[in-house]
Amino acid sequence: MRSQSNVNHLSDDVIIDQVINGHTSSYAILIERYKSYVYTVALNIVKLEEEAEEVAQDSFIKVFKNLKKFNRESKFSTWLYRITFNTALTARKRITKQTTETLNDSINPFTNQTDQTEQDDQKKFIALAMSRLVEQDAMALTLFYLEELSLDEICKITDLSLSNLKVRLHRARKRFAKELQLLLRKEAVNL
Amino acid sequence: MEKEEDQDDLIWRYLDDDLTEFDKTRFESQIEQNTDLKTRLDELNRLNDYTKKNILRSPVSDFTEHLMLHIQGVRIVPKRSHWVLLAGLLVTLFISGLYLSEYSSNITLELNKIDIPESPIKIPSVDLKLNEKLPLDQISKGLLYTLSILSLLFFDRAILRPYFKGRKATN
Repeated sequence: MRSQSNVNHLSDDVIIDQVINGHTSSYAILIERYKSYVYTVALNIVKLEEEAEEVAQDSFIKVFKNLKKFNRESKFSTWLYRITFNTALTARKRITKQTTETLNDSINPFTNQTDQTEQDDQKKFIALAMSRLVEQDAMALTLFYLEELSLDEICKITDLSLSNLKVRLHRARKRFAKELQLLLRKEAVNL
Repeated sequence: MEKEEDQDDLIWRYLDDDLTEFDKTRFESQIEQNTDLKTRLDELNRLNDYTKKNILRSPVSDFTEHLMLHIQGVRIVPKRSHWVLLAGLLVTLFISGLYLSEYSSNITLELNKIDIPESPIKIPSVDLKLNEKLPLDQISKGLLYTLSILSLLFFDRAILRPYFKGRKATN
């Protein structure tokens, strides 16, 4: 049985080759490596936990089915996030059609948790502030902070030009910082 | 308000290391002289760090396990028509093998009789002197049976086993 330390050093390309050659179980390593990132990206677009999990699962399944077609011109993570972005946008459109109330008001990032730690509270504020942004802005900002991807990589994922992306990031950070400060101040007052 | 926005823009660019050396040096000297600017820089810097630290969220604990069960059940399975085609191919191959090995042809070809003149150049014949009569009939049967067995093995390993293994995972 492989130890965790042995599999952690395997590159994405090596694992992909193993999966393509029939070792499907190796795909679990890629899932473990990227599940949080994919889930976070999905959550910041669809803004609902259950939907975000479904989007994350759909994204990993799509990637698995098309793994042989991955041309490796970009990083695996770039390709994965691009698929996640498109899947999340489709889900978001479907959710918007199904519901009449605005999702921004109905977001509840902690639907299943009763005991919230301080870390959970902090994550809640981030999620609430992020929910105030439009999807492309939320996506760009999430990728910017999450893995500190280069602007070129974020352009490949979001299909935005570099100039457009800079404008979006700039606008998103200002709005996000303002919303987050308001939320933190409100929480301080409530406490 | 506009001045505050310009100030924030400058601070973000400084935090992103997006200023030229000259602008960076000038900004750092402004920070030393302007306490409000320094306070705002610290505020946005803290927000930046706070976001980086808390942005990552995790799905449910059995996410990978649940997903792998699903993935192992969605292996690419050939369509029914492909199975029919492959089965037909194997049966045809098998029957052809039996037919060709047993059948002795009585077909006669009616060709126009043509007189071929004798060549003036005589090519010496080479007597091969085969000591043993090669059992061609048995060799051809053996090859055909081997081919059939290999095809069945391939069918079992490449299609049947993954299909039933996948069905077992989903059940």
